[in-house]
Amino acid sequence: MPAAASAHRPGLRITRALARRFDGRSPASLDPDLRVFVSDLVRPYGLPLREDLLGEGAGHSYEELAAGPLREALADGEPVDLLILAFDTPDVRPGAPSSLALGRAVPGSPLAFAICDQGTAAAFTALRLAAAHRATGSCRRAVVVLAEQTALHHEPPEPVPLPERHAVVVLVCEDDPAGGLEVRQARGVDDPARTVRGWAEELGPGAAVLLDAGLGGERPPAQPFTGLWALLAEQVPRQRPVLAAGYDRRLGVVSALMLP
Amino acid sequence: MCDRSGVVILARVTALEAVAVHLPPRAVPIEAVGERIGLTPRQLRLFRRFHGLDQLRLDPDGKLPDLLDAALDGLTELRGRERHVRFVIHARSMPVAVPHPLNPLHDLLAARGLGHASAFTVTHHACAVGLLAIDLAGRLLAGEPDERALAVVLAGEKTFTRDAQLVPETGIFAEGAAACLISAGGERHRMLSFAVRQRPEFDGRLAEDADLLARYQRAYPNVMVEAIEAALEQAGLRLGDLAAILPHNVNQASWRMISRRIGFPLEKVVLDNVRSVGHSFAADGLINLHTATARGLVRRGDHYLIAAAGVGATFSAMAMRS
Repeated sequence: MPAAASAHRPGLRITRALARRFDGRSPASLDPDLRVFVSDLVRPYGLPLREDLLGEGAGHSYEELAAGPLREALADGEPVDLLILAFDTPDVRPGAPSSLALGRAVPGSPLAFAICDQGTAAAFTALRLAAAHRATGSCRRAVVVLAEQTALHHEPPEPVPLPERHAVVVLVCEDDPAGGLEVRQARGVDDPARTVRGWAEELGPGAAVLLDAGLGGERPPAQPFTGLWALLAEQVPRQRPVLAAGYDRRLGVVSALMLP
Repeated sequence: MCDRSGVVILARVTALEAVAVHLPPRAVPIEAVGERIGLTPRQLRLFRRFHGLDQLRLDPDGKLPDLLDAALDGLTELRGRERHVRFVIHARSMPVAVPHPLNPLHDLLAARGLGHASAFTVTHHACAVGLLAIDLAGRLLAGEPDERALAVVLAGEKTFTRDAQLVPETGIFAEGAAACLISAGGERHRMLSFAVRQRPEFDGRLAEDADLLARYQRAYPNVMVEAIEAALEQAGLRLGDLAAILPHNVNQASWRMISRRIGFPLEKVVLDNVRSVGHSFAADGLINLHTATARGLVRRGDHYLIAAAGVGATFSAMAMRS
């Protein structure tokens, strides 16, 4: 039976959203350690390396990509309590704790960590975790960083959309006593589009509805992980309720961010 | 309830209802692993004589889901309650563990009747991430209206590359795994506090940067003690209130030093598994809780503290009441 995740009433609202896309590469893409790591990673699975990408140097690091947008989004110098990095495609420094470095670069020395392994749903889960921190009392200001980079240094074991450009979206979430963002997630629903329509109706007829490729948005998606959130960034600050929804077809997870 | 500034917050209980441990049956002497990964005889003597390492539990024929599945298999308290599990969190030291876009966590859960749960990996706290996963599980459960809601934290990793085999001059990794069932209403093993200290200035190539390694080693006991003291203060406890400290299994020497520095009896630091299991990434704390309860070191009503450090660097401590 599909189990819809329950609602949070966390009291965080998104006050600033920045979306940035990048070209180029990180010096880390030519680090010999990358070849060692990827070789060890794929060996048990019998997957070939992408010698072309490893040889020419391709891909970017999430620390380098996000540092500038974070500075820009947090230029007011107000302290941040929590920084969550969410990603799907691996960092070009795959073993690096880049969220910690980003946390040190923002005001307030926030608790920093990263989440992954949930496809496109990880972005929603990052916001859900921020809301859960606010609801349980240890967060008045959080920043969620969503990142993707173009290079996969091995042949994928199955088809997977990769981003056309490196991209970062920064979502600044601040305390809102009137109640704020809400994230809903469900897995295994028969009709994810209908599920999302039902959630959207709760926001009223004037709500803006943003959908990712899994729900009929741009296909194939140019930016599979951050594309939806770049659309959201255009709506912030906003004049009306917004629902941003995504469906990860591989994992069967439907997610929605509801901004009343 | 409200916080100090008057903002409404959810009261929460984070309770470990059950812990299951999987130790791969193959116990490999550190010398055999050292030969494979290129450790010198001097380095191996350091690990055996000074750091107190002996054997490592490894599963050379298994993959990541085999470890996690075996740990879940031992979590008998979960059986019949799968539909109440809302969240499954893999606490993982290595941010990338399988080729993209494979996702063995989700495949494993579907086969276990947990396919409905929201499942993801939390990372970047290296071997301290197990404590973060417990804290996150409790926060997520606090927002669930169904008081029967549960979360599962999984920990355990493969030693598939050099960075997942060795912390230079400090420890050698093993492949123990653990599964933990968490509720928002259990009476036993309740979390009282969680303190984290992060020091990203120590991220880097410890094996090649002798200066960085030396600075990290100098700071290590100080920051670990800082996290322990912060967790105790938050919980309103003193060291003397603790029946045990459950450390990460990186080595014995660092815990001898910390124990001496804070004045805590070494015999109450659960170090059994450093010799017989090895440093199993983020699973150590749960493996050691299993050992401590089995040995009667932690009994009903006792206070204890779980502590861990991860390269990169994160230092965490969690005070608990059994």
